[in-house]
Amino acid sequence: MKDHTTETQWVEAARRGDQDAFEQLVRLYEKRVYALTLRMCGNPEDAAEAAQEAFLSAWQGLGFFRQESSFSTWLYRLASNACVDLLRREGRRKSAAGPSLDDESLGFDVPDTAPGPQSALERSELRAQIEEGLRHLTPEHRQVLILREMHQLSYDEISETLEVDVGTVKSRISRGRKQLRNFLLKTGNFPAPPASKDTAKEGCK
Amino acid sequence: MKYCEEYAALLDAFVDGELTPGEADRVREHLKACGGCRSYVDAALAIRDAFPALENVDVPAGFADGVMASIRAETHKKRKTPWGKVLLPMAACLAIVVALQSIPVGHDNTTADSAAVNDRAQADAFFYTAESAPAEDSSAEADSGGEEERADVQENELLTSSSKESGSAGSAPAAPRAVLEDFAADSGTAPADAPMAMTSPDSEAEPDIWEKYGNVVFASTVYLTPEFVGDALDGYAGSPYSTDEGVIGVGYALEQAEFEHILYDVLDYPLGPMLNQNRTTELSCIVVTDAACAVG
Repeated sequence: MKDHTTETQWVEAARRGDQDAFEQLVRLYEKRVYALTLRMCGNPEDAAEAAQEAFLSAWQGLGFFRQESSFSTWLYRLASNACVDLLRREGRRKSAAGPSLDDESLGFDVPDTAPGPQSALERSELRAQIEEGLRHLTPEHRQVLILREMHQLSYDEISETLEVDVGTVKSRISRGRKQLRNFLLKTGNFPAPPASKDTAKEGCK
Repeated sequence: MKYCEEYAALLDAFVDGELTPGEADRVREHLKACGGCRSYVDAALAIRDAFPALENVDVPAGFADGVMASIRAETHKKRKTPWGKVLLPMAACLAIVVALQSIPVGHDNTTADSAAVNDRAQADAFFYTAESAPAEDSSAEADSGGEEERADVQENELLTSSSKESGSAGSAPAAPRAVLEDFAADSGTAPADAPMAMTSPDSEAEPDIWEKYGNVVFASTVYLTPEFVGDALDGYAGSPYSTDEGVIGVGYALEQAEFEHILYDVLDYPLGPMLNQNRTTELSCIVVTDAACAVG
């Protein structure tokens, strides 16, 4: 994270129409915004489109940005909204194209036999499964999990970002996570791990 | 092993460090004694551990330049982002193509009823495309409601007909049956839950009947017993919901927000269904049936 005052100055300058200042902001945030849109949308093309949409909305809306929230919060909100909009459109387009893209996942073969201890799974493999699982969540559940796990926002910050109350954030995170866990359990990629002793220690971080 | 209901609400907040110290202590104590909750917390932490990280993300080369180019171009000719302009016509073209494709093909494997429904859907779909192209023949049954809601319905029906055709005209006739409308609630590996027909998802004039193995895939579907539902759906209009076995209950098609509200806030349903990737409508369906256990 860059110096906060610098960021504030860029925001101020950009509000007055300074494109170079805005470019600094784009470069500062492109990774975080794209990371969000990529996980939300699930493919690079849509992600780039949504991220671009978010930045363009930011540019167009800077006049309305009152700095009651931080610029990043506001930007994540725009990115989130862009994704949800795009997913709704995309959902229709995809449906119109008929079943094809996700056919494998729809077969949903659940290996009931234990696929081996979790430690044997490559972390990257689990990551891939998490990405797959995320795609099956509703956009609302997916976005809170991404903001929480990837952008490491607190419940309060997520609440501010999405303009929903903290109770909603809490329940969405809980439901989203349970669904994700269930997905991983059901696909057999995530055997219920035996309880580990240091859970309590880790959990309170 | 299942986590405890009384702690379920605390476990996520615990993992996320959102509890007060007192609450966190309580959970920690509980975890020592409860394998189910511990397993849940472990799973949550494993997910966190393997969750895609910011560092793993590569922003497409030239992304910022592209954004700035759009902004500068816009300032020059007052044009906004090209996406909106590109996507809308594209979607419209696609709609036309889909509607055209869906028209001349025959129906196999369908009952007389759903074939008739399908015909109507095609008529409506065709009527719908008339917005962007002159209607060559908006056949007889396409009644012109005129309201915006009507347009949505037509869009649904447009999708209805397209998914139907892609299923029946393709080389894999069994394809529609392999589609799970809700794999979170499915009962195992068998594709027991196939898409249902939505003959006319008009909220004002509720549809005649929801048909299982039809040609519209709800965003998600849950099967609940009347006892579980109680009076939660009082005031909502439902329609008979049928499968091969005949009518098994009543289906309530709802907007996602309403659907979630009833499931989670009113009924305290523990775990929601996931969205079907192949849904052809954003509506979800609650099926109230005595056979909830058998179907769900």
